[in-house]
This record gives sequence, structure tokens and C-alpha cells, in this order.
Amino acid sequence: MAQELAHRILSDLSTAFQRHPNIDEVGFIPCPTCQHNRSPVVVENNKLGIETWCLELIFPYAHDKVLRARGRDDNGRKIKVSRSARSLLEATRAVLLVQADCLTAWNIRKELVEAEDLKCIQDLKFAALVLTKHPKSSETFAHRRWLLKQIVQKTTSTSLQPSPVSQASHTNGLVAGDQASGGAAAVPPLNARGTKSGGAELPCDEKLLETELAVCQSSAERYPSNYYAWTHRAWVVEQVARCHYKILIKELSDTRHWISRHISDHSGLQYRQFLITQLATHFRSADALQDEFLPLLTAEFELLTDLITAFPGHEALWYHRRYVFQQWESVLSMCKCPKSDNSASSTGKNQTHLQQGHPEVPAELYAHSASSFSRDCKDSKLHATVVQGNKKAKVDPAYTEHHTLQSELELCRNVMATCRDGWQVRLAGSYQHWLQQRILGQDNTSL
Amino acid sequence: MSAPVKDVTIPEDAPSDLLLNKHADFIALYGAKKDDYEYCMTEYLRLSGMYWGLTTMDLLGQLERMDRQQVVEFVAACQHDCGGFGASLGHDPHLLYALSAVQILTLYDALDAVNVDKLVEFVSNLQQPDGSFFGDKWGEVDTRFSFCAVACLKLLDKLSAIDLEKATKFVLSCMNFDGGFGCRPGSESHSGQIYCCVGFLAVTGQLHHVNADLLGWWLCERQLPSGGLNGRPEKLPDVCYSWWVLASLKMIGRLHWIDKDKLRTFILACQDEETGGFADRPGDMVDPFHTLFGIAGLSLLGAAEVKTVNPVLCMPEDTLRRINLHIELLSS
Repeated sequence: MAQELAHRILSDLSTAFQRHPNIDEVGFIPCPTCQHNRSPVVVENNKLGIETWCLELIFPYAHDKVLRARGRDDNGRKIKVSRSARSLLEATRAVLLVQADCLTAWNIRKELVEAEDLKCIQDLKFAALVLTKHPKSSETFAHRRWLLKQIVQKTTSTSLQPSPVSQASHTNGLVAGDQASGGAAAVPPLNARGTKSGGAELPCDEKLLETELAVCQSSAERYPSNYYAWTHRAWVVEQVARCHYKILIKELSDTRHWISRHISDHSGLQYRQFLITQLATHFRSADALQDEFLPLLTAEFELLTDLITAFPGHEALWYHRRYVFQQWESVLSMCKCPKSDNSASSTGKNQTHLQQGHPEVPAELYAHSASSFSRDCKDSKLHATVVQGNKKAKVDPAYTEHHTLQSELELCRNVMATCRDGWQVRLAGSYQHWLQQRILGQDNTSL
Repeated sequence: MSAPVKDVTIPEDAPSDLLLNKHADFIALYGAKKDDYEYCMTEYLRLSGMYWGLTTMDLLGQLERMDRQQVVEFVAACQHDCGGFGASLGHDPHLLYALSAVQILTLYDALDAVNVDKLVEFVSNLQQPDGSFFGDKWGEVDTRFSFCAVACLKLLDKLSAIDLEKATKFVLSCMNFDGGFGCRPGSESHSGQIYCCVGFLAVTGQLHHVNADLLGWWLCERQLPSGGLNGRPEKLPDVCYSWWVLASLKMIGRLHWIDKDKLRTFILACQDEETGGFADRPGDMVDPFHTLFGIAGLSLLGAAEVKTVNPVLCMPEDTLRRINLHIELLSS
């Protein structure tokens, strides 16, 4: 009886998907018992609702079907496998809508993709639907990465000429474990600053990328500090967009607004750290770092100062400041050394030096920094020579004066002396402690 | 305008003593009911669930209440021809469950019930040229899997089956400027991932790579006014993160940097006086996962009623002594 009912509800679910191919959200309707004689599966405006009373029926039923595909009955006894793509799609769909971390169900769908019973794009759509109900399901994001790898691999193998990236990669890009090594230095930037490839096209389907970033965004909205959504987004930028300069800049610009509305979201802020770290590898000369990269960092400092002042007591903002400061220090030290090109992507040749902001950088990214920078520049000699030991190097004094350890410590002291919010004072104290630790760590006693 | 600190308030009538026997009853009962929907829903992580329950029972000195033979037979039946273990019968093999299987079998001194050589082959085959580990044949990479691989092999005394130098290089490439670790290079520091990466370095005898002061401070800053620890900035305190942070601090010799009394109060407040078991936070629903990490946390904090737990493998120290397994930690 229960089996029959479960079977019928599963059919209702399939009919719903056939009739409404654009279902874009799923939710459970709290309803502990069956109260009327109609289907517990409803669709309104492409939103799928499932009444909760039926979950206890359909989940075990569908789960059993999944196990049967693996040659086991629900008591774990070995049985003969009979496969029907359609029934497997239905069963795995029902299981995953309820329990998104069931990796065996996702694996069966991978096999269906390999057997060409299911298209990658279709399954990306289904996995996006699952994320509307389970926004932090790690297995769902892992499955998306597998699907995306299939698509990218296909695109790469059908294109006539291999991209510079796949030529340069140690392993065959996305195929064998390269996702793991895709850190700052592992994937050479396609559109590296200072080379003639400045206008290179995106190494991927723009629409695919856009959809994927939107899925990340929506999952991040649904669950705050969503580790899986943001690490997936970084993976997409690395492995699908290949850290293309234009995409990094666009993402930095897009998430700026988001962050201002989600000031507690440390994962979102950390994603900006990822973008900034990757962007740094695009500036290959000390000049490019100083003239194009430092203004980005200045803008980040100013954004943080605004947010920290307007919204006291947010640890995520103070933590992000730690990153920006250490990045600032390391870039300045690189600029002070005349021959040290940015080691992460150093080519030594084809360096260009743009006095103005990068043409592809939206003006708003420089919003604060552009004005304060030029103002400061008037007061000081641009590209003054800084003597460091017996080396001569070009560092704009405007920058060396901007964010020093002293000025950061001053900020902490100010907050601690004037702020009435106890938690904000504690966070300023933590930042001060962190700064002091750095000094000790660097064996610098010039405080 | 200020934001309230994301934390919990511990109710005045919250439990403040360890309800040891209640927890043992909770676990024993949990393992017995196998027909409900909840049980089916958690099938996909069954072996890990069994490890949480059995380890809790062992730490409480009541492992004999569980049916050894039934457990060992079930674990053995979860092994696939490739050597790996699925979470349950009919579930696909994955490194996560290989570790749970080995931990359970070690508790019961029953490794001979499975094909160890095949298992070692399964683990070592998942290592990639860059040193990282796939979780299974489908190619997902995560530092959690690096930990699972070496923890598994350490318990089997087969660490030499993999390229340790490369494996270490990969884990270290996931270290961030704040001293913490994420799931992949450049990923956000996260207490769970930190536990795995520091655990990896402990198992492989390479804790000197950790910047103990820098990481120690980041970990200490997880402690909130309630005494509980969170896993990342601006997250709520949680018993399981309390364990991961605490165990990491123990491994790097910085356990004394947090307020132990306050943390003990927080963990004890997460007990359910009626049903037994621990929840993530005071007043929430209890489960075996948080129950293990509550008990293990209290053990690290020195609870006399509980066996001493090993901070790296989250197993009783007496079990590890029996197999002559010793892991060097950083001194304070």
C-alpha cells in the first residue's frame, strides 16, 4: 500500500517536471499528515512544493531503487541489476531533492551522463534546483564541478588549437587533479598584463560562466558564509574562466556591492582575497604593481574603513583588513626591489607600464583611491627614488605613507579610545595584537 | 549602531555535570532503531555514524554494550572489490568511509576481517601527481581527503604506500596568510579543514611546518563570550567546531591559550538532560555526531570520567597504545 502510494507520488513528481521544464526552486510545505485527497506535489510559477508528510514515503522508496541500481535490495542482499535510465533519473532525483549529500545518487547520474542518457547542461540545471533547497550541500557542488569539467574538456578537445593555458599546464588542465594545484601560481593567466594577449577572448562559454556564477550567488544569498558556494565560485574562476583578467576585475566589482550588504560574510570577503591574489599575478612588473595594483588595494582599504566605521563589531571586516594589509606590505616590498618582477608570473619581457588605470577596470573600483591618490601625488614627487640599502628603487612615497604599520596601529588606538561598542574595541585590540605579532615575526623593533 | 555578537546565552538551568550514562544509553538506543525515516536519511554516512557512536561508547568505557560481531560483519560487507568502503551496503566507495571503517575495526581489533592490502591499494591509487587525493574515482579534491588517506594508512602501519613528500607539499600549498588551511589552495581557512591539515602534518611527523603562534591565535579567536568556539569568523559557536579547534590547539601545543573552564561550561550546556546526547548548541536537537565531539572535547579538557582521547585520530589513547601507535605533538 505504502509502496503503491510512493510510486504514485514519484510519478506525480515526474509529471511535474515534464509539464514545467523550467522549475527553478523547490521547497517543502510543512504538512505533517495527508489532509486532502490530492497530490502532495504542487507547482506554482515554476516553484515546486512537496508536502512534508510524503517525504517519509518517497525517500525510502526512491533510496531503495538507488540501492537496487548498485545490486542491493533494501536489506543489503545482493540482487541482479536491472537498469532503466528513466527510472534511475526519477529515483535519484527524488533522493537528492530530499538528501542532497547522497553521493551514490549523484554518481549514478554521472554514469548516466557518461552513457549519454543525461546531458551535462540538464544536470547542471537539476543540481541548481537542489541548491535552492540545500544551498550548502558539498556533494552537489562537487557534482557540478564534475559536470563542468566534462563540458570544458569537451570544448577544449574539439577546438582546433589548444589554448596557451592547456599547453602550459603541467597536467592536462581539468582532467587529472589539476584543480587541486590551481593555486595562484599553477595556472598561468591567459590574459596576462604586459603581454600582447591583452584582448584575448574568454577561454570559456560566457553563458556557462554567467550561469555558474549566478548559482553561486544565489546559494550564498540563501546561506550566510557559505563555504561551499564561495570555494566553488573560486574554483569556477580558476578552472572555467582560467583566471581571465577581465573576469577577475568584473567579479571584484560585482562582489563589492554584495559585500557592502553582507558585512558579516567572511566567505564572501575571502573570495575577494582570492580575486585580489589572482589579480596580483597579472601585474608583472614593479611599475605595473605600483600603478595598477596598489590602487586596487587602496580602494579595498577605504571600503573597509567605511564599513568598519559604519558597522562596528564585525569580525569579518577586521579579518579582511589583515589580508589587505599583508598584501599591501608584500607588494610594497616587491616594488622596493627594482629587479623583482612579480615572481608568480614573471616573464621578464613584454612589460607595459600604464600610467592611468587599466582600461578594463571600472572607474568605481578606483572610486576613493583615484582621488586620494592623485591628491597625494601632487604633494609628493611621483616615482621618487627611495634608497634602500645600496639599491635604488622606484616607490611612490604616496604609497609608502598610506598604510604603514604606524597608521594601522593608530587606527586601532583611535577605535579603542573612542568607540563605545565593547565588541568593536575587542576586535580593534585583536587587530592590534595581530599587527604586533607581525612585527615580532619580522624581527622588526622599530615601533 | 552596533551589531549584537553572534553567540548564544547559556540558560541558567543548563546542565553543568556530565551525564555519562545517559549518553551511553542515547547511543545504544540510536544504534538499535533501524526502521525509521531518520535512519534511512542518514544511510549515506552510516559507517561514519557508527564510528561516532562506537568511539563515544569506548570513551565512556561502555563499548561492550554494542554487538561486536554484527558491527564487524557489516563493516566487512561494505568493502568493495576495489578495496574501498561505501558508507553502507550498496553505497559507492569513498575515502571518508575507508577511514571510518579502519577506525571501527581498530577499536574492535578486527582488521583481519577485511582485505587490508586491497584497501591500501585503494588509498594509494587515489593520490594524484600533485600529491593531493581524490575522494573517489570521480576526482573531487579536498584536504580532508589528504587527512583521511594518511590517517587510514597510519592505522594500518602502511604510510610508505604513498608519496609523502608530494602529499605534504599539497597540504602546505593550502596554508593561508593567517596560518590556517582551506580545502584547496587559496580557499578560506576553516577550523574543520585546519584540523585535517594539522592532523595530516601530525600523522606524518611534520608539525614544524605550522606557524604555531600565528595559527594558535587565529584558533583562540574562535572562542566567544559564551565560552563556545566557532569554526570561522562571525559564525555561531558549535560543539563540533569546539572539538576541531581544541584538537588543533592541542596538536600545536597551544591548548592553554583558551579559557578551558568557559569552554567546559559551554559543552556541558549542550547536553540534553532527558534523552542524553549533545547538540550543536544549548537547547538544540542532539545527535551522535555532536555527542562524540562533546565527549572528546571534555576528554581533552581533562574530564576524569572519560578515557583520554587522541587529538589527531579522535580515538581512545588506550586503543592506539595497544597497536603501538604514537604521534608526536608540538610542546607548549
